[in-house]
Order: sequence, then structure tokens, then C-alpha cells
Amino acid sequence: MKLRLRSMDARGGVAETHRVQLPDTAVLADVKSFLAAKLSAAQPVPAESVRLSLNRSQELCSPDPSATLAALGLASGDLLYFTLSAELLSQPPPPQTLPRNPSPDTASIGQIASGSQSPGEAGGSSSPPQNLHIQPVSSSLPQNLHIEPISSPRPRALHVEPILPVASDPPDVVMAEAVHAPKSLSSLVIGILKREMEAEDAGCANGTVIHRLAVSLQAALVDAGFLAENPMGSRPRLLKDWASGAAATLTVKYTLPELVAMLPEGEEGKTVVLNCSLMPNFVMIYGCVPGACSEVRRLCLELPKLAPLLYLDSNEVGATEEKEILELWRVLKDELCLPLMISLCQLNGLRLPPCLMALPGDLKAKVLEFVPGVDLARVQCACKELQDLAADDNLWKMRLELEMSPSSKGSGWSGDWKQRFVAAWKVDNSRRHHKRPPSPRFSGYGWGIGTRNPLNFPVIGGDSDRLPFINHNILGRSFGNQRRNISPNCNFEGHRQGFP
Amino acid sequence: MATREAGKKMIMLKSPDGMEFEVEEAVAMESQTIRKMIEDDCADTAILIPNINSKILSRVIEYCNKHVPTTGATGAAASDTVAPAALAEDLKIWDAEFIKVNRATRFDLIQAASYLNIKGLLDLTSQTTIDTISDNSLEEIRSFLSTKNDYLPEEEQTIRRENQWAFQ
Repeated sequence: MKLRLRSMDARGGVAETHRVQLPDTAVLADVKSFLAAKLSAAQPVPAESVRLSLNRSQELCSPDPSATLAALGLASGDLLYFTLSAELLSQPPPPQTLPRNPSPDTASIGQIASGSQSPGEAGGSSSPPQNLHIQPVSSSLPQNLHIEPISSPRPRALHVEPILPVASDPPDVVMAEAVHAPKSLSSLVIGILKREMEAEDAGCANGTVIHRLAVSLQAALVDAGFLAENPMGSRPRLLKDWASGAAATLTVKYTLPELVAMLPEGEEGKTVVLNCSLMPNFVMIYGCVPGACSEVRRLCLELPKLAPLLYLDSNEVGATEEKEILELWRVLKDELCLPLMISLCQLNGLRLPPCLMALPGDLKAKVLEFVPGVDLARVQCACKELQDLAADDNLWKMRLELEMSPSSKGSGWSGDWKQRFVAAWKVDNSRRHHKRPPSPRFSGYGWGIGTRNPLNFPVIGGDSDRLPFINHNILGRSFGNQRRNISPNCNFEGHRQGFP
Repeated sequence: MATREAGKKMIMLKSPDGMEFEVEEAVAMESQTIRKMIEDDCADTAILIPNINSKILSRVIEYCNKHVPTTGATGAAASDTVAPAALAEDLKIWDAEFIKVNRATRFDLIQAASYLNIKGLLDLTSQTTIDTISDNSLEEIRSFLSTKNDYLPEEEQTIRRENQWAFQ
């Protein structure tokens, strides 16, 4: 059984997380002695003083010293908090095992429930919003979320606190975690990825980058709505083949819940085919829907860049890392999963996933209100429905007023607003082409302005160190060609001969 | 449960997947749809919000929480110290972060904002939907808009000629 142990005392700072692999027969005392040994490096710590908690508020006690960790309700991958000071933790009123997360069968709400959830995974501080998603609907565990703004409005963080259920169930571990969690989509995404990674790690220990990328891809596909497993059994193949590195190219097929019944008879047009090929530093993913006339989607992912992102082992994710993980997730979903899903749905006449064309007409029109005129014209060329929607005269009137300068509007001109916009746009455009503003790179650096004192040049990208040479007219010094384009000043004041 | 703190009426919002969110009345009333329900007195215990799952509903509540007017009972003290302009700037930055979601979520948010009639959120979401199609080929635009070319060849020729200026 794998456990993660994190100090409660260093909240706010970076709390170190210890990972420990224990035999299945381990008891609570083993965890404590492991921790005591770890912590004794600085100063001796007796094993008895280590206190453990699942939810940071109640101590995890074992009524029977010989009870295994599993009997206490711990599962592989669980995060345990530890502290050495007794006052931080209260004794639980009844000395019983702490409640577990919702049973796996209630966790099927939402698309992410792919059957791979490790049921005990309470997640790190970044994943709990995910847990909001998988709360049970069943009335046996009444849980209300109470959301209220913190009284100071700036910055106003969302504060989620659990209302204790009326029933005798103690508060759920997950909810206690949620109290401390920042609530944002980013952590939700990271939560999904982390959960998937850890679920997979439990199965096979080798976590290569490719393996982890495969898990992320799988998570994105499932999140988009594809079936995690289907008659063709994509999941085990995808992971096994890639993780072992035995096959450089791999083909997997995904389908939708609505189409799975038709699958054994005819595959064409009912599945999405992903071809993944592995190169030393890249993974190429091609996705297409055989039978549809849509193009092949292609993704090229650079492995060395992804490597640090995909190791989400530490529970603290930096802001930049988080951004990049989000970007990866967005690329996987928006560039691959969603377009493929849309093709598949269009081909089979299914309800489209959330996309522009699936919006009701008034909302499509609303979206078009914000599209610049040039793009509006391009949108018109896309298909008939959008042509109609974007031909609305009011839209073009608005565009004309928003985008065009009064002089180019051509007042007193009657006719359709689009034509007026186009006329104004052409006037503006030609003006833009003829009167190009000076390149901002050189403006202000004395380019073409002979009156400037060469000694007063602003520092340009590390050139200041050689300006004195120019002014002292040291001949024959080579500065290298690559820098000349950012030293326009040397064309003036007769210093040109200073260059080779 | 109806009144948690004195003076603040709480409203319970339920998503169809069984989650319940208790929010301040003022926050819920950011939604004109809910405001109407409250004003018409059909919201004594809980309001079921159909069609909006808990994931999206929690995001919408997050938005409303941030955008609930700071004047009034909740933030009277703060509005003295913070200039309105700075506050608006702050909100803008917050909005930009808020809307950094994948496209599917964004479309879900549009529909939620439309159903709940939250003007600010509707503007924010629709504004950011088609923001990146400049400099793309027509095929790329089609795939971005998830639409298919349904023009006959001669029709397409006409429409392309009409809008040639936009592709230069």
C-alpha cells in the first residue's frame, strides 16, 4: 500500500510530502515509526508523538493496535497529514474508523468517472473541486454546499464550507479537504490528471513520460465524452503498448456511448481512430473518423517539454506549471478530442457536444455580436446557417460604428450596412497600407534622426558596453555582424569605418 | 438553513445531478431568472436549476459571487477604501482568468448564462468564443466553428467573391 504523508505544520509554505510503500499487513504504528525515523534526522522524535489525520482536524486512531491500515479504511494512494503537536488534532468522538469517500458506484456522475478512480483518493490541496463533482446524489449522505463570499470583497475568494449532515454520518473527508482548496477550473483539471496518474501508477509502477502522456490523453478523451472502454478494449492496449515502448506506432479506437451497440457490426463511421507514433523526442497523434469527410487532426507533442509537467507527484503545483498543464489539457481537448467528437456526432446525427453550432440561434447571434467585421465576413463563408446569421444588418451597423473612424464612414450613404462597412474598411485598409507607422523597434533610437547626440543613446540590449568604443573611434575592432542590425546609430557621426 | 447570518437571506440552488448550493440571495439575484422567481415568491425552499450541471453551476455561482454589487450590506465598508475604477480593473483581470477554460466549458457557460439571464457572464462568454479566427484559412475556420461546408460549388464561389476583401 502506498501512502503519502504530509506535514500539517507547514501549511502555507511548501509542505514536504513523504511517500511510503508499506506491506498490506502494516498497522498504524508502522506508519508512525516510519515518520519518526524520517523526522529524527534533525532531532529525535519518538514514534508515540506522531499524530496522523486524514482530514486535518481529527486524529486517526486505531482502536485495535493490530488492525491493518486497510481495516482502518485507508487505501493505496491516500494522503495522510501528520503533526507532532497534539493540540492541532482533536480526538474523534467515537473511536471508529474514519468515513471513506463516496462508494465507487455513486461516483459515476459526470463524464470523468471512468471507472479508474481510486476510491480513497482525497486528492491533494489542488484536486478537491473535482470531488465536488463526484458527490453522491443518494439521499443517504445529505451534503449541502454552502457558498458565500468572504466579507472583504477584494479579493473575494469563493469559500466553500460543508454543512454537517443531519444524519449521524460524520463529515466526509472530501468535504473537509474542499474547505482549504482554492476553487478554480485549473485545479479541477489537475485533479483529473493526478487522479488518473495515481490510479494507473497503482497498476503498473513504471511511469515513463509516454505512459503519463497516454494517461492524460485517455483522461481528455473520457472527459470529452468518449467511452473509456469499449468492445475493442482501447484502454489496456493504449497504456500497455506505450508504456512498454515495444510498439512505436499504435492505433486505438474510441467510440461514444450512443454508438457502442452498433459497433460489432460495422465499425466505419462509428469510431474515432487515433494513430499515435513515437519518435525519440516527439509523440505524433493523428485522429480521424473513418467514413467522414473531415480532415485528419494532427497533434505533435514534444516529450522533453512535457516531462516536468506530467510528473504531478508533488502536491504543490507552481503557477507557471499549472498554466502549462492547462495549456496541454486545452490542446488535447480543443485540438483533438472535441473536433473528432463533433465529426462523429455530425456523421451519426447525434446531438453535438457543446460547440457553436449546438447553441440555439439567439445565442449564436449573440456570439457573432462580438466578432470583428473582417472575421464576420469570413464566418459567412463557412456555411449557410452562419451566412444567414451574420448577414444581419444590425450587426454590420454596429461593426461600422465600433470599428470605423468617422471620416471613413461615408455619411449620408444609404444602402446595406455591410456594403457600407466594406467600403469604409477598404478606405481604412488602404490608408493603413500607405502610412505605415515607423517600426516601434527603432523609433526613439535615433534611426534616421541626425540631430540626436550619439552619447545619449539609450541602452539597447546590451550594446551600451561598446558605445564608448565607437565614440573613441577605435579602428579595426570587430563587433560581429549579428549585432549590427540593432546598432543603427553607427551609420551616423562618421563612425562607420569602425566596422569591418 | 434559510437564514445563516442575520440579515442575509440564503437561497438554495439545486443542480439536476443532485448537488445543492446555498448562496446569499443577493448573489443568486445576479441572475435575472432567479430574481424573477424570488420576486414572484416561487422560491421558498430551493430552486432547481434544470439543464445546468453542478460543475457549471458552481462556476456560475463563483462568477456571481465575484460580481455581486459591493454596495449594500455585504461590502459597504470596502467600497469606501477601494476606488471604483480600481475595482473595475480588478474585476476585468479576474474575468479574464475566469474565462480561461476549454471550449466545451465555455459553451456550457454561455448556455447557463443565457438560461439564468446573467448579462455580464453572457457578454463575457460570448465575447471570448470567437476570438482567434483571424489569419486562419476557411477550412480551419470551419473546423473551429464545428460546421460543415454546405454550399454548392457555385454558391461557394459567389460567397467567396463577395467576401474576398476579408481574406486579403
